[in-house]
Amino acid sequence: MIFDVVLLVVLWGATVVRLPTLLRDRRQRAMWACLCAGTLAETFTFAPVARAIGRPLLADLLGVVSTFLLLRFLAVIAGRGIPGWQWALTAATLIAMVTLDVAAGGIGPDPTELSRHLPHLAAAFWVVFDGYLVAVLTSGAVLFRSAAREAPRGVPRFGLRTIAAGWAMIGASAALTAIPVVLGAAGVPIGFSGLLTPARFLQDAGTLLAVGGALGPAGRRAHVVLGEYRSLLALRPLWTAMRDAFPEVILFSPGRAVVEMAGVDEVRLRLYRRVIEIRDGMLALRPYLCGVVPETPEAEAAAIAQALRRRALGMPASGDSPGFATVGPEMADEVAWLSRVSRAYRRKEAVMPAAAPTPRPSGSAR
Amino acid sequence: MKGLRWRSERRLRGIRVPRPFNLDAFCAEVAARRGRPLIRRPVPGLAAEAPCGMWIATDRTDHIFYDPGTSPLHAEHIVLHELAHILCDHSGSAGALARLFPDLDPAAVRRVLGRVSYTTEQEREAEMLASLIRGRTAPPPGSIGPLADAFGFLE
Repeated sequence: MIFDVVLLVVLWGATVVRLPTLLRDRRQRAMWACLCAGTLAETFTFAPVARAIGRPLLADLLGVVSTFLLLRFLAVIAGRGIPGWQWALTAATLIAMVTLDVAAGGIGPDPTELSRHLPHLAAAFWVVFDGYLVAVLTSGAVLFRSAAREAPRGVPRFGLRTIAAGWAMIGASAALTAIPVVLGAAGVPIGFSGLLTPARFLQDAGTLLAVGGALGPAGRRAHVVLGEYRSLLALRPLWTAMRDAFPEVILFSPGRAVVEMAGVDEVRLRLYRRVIEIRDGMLALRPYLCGVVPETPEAEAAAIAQALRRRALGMPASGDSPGFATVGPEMADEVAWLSRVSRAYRRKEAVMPAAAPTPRPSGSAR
Repeated sequence: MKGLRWRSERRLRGIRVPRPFNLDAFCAEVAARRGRPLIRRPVPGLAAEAPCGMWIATDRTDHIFYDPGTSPLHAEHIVLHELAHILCDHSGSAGALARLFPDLDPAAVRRVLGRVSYTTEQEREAEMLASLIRGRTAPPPGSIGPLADAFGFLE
C-alpha cells in the first residue's frame, strides 16, 4: 500500500512537473502523453480508486493506451513513424475490449480470480488484452534490437540488446498468461497457479533486464547532468551580478527559463545561456575596466567587481580597456574558467559588499 | 500564442547543423540556402555603446560583423545570432549604420540588424535560435543513433 502511494506521488509529480514540455517538440509531447496515460492507468488500479469506480475496464483500457503511447514515444525518438497496422491493432483492441466487457456485464479485475470456471467472453477479453501486449512488446523488442545493430560495439550495443531481451521476456510472460486463460475457457482442467509461476518469473526477470540495461547509461547521463547543474550553481553569483547590472542581456527570467528550457536534457542549454549572458555582461562592462589583462580568476573577479562599482557610481568609461583573459575555445574551457571567476567574485563580495546599489531599469526583458 | 522556444524549434527543422559544430561549415550552409556569398569580418571595438554584432544585407552579399574582443565561444555566438536573423528573414533599419560605417552608401544597403539586447521580439527570436543551434547536445548523426542517445548511451 505504501509502495503504491509513493509510486503514485512520484508519477503524478513527474506528470505535473513535465507539463511545460508540452510547449516544446514532438518528442517531449510524446513522452508526456506516455507518462500521463501510465499515471492514469496506475491511478485507476490503485485499490481505493478502483473500488470507488467499480469498473476495472477503465484501468485495462488505459493500460493499452499507455503501452501504445510508449511504443509511439520510442518510434518518435528513433525517428520512425508508427506503422499503420499498430494504429489499427490498438483501435481494434480497444473496441473489442469495450464490446466484450459490455457483453459480459463487466470483466473481473484479474483472470486468475476466474479460475476454472472461465466464461468465454471473459476469456476472449483477456486473450485480446494479453495478445495486444504480446504484439506491442515484441514490436518494442524488435525496435531495440535494430537500434542495437546500429549502435557502436561495447556498452551501447550490449545495453540495447539487454533492454530488447527484457521486453521480449515480458512479452513472453503475457503470452504464457494467455495460454491458461484459453485452456480454462476450453474446459481443460488446469491449475492457474502452476502455469502462472513461470510467467511471473519471466515478467520479473524481463523487468530486471530492461531496467538493468537502461541503468548503466542512465547513471552515466545522470553524472554528466549533475556536473552541469553544479556548474550552473557555480556560475550563479557572477551571472546574478551581470543580470543586475545589465538586465537587457538576459533572455529569460529564471522562472521563464524553466518553462522554455525544461527537462533534464536542456540543462546544457541553460548552462550555455548562462555563459553567454555572463559574457554579454562582461562585454558591456569592458569600457569600465582599467589596469592590465587579468591572468588569474581572482584578478578577473576583482576587475569585474571594480568595473561594476565604477559603472554603478556613474564614473566615466576608461577608454583604454585592457579586456579580459583569453579563454576557450570550447564551452568546457569557458565553464571551468568562469566558474572559478564566479567563486572568487562571491568570496570577494562576501568580504566587501558593493559600494552602491545597482540600478535596475524598468521595462527590461527580465 | 505559441512559445518562443516552439517557434524557434520549428524554424530549426530542415536546417543542417554540423555535429560537432563548425562555424565555417554552418556559414557555408546558410550561404548555400541564400544562394549568395556570406562574408564575416571581425570589427574590434564594435561593442562600445553599439551592437556587438551586425548583419548588413546588400543586393548581392550578406555581411556579418562581430566584435572579436571577447571569448571565442561568445564571438561565435554573436555570429550565430546574426545568422539567426538571416534564417528568420528578419527586417531591420539603418539605425546606427551611418555612425559605424560612415563611408558606406546607405542606398546599397537593404537590411541592417545589430545585436544589442533582447527587448524586441526579433532579437529574442534570433537569440533563442542561436542558442539552440550551438547550445544543445546532439551526437554526430549516425554515430550512435537517436534511440541509443535518448536512453543516455555514450560512445
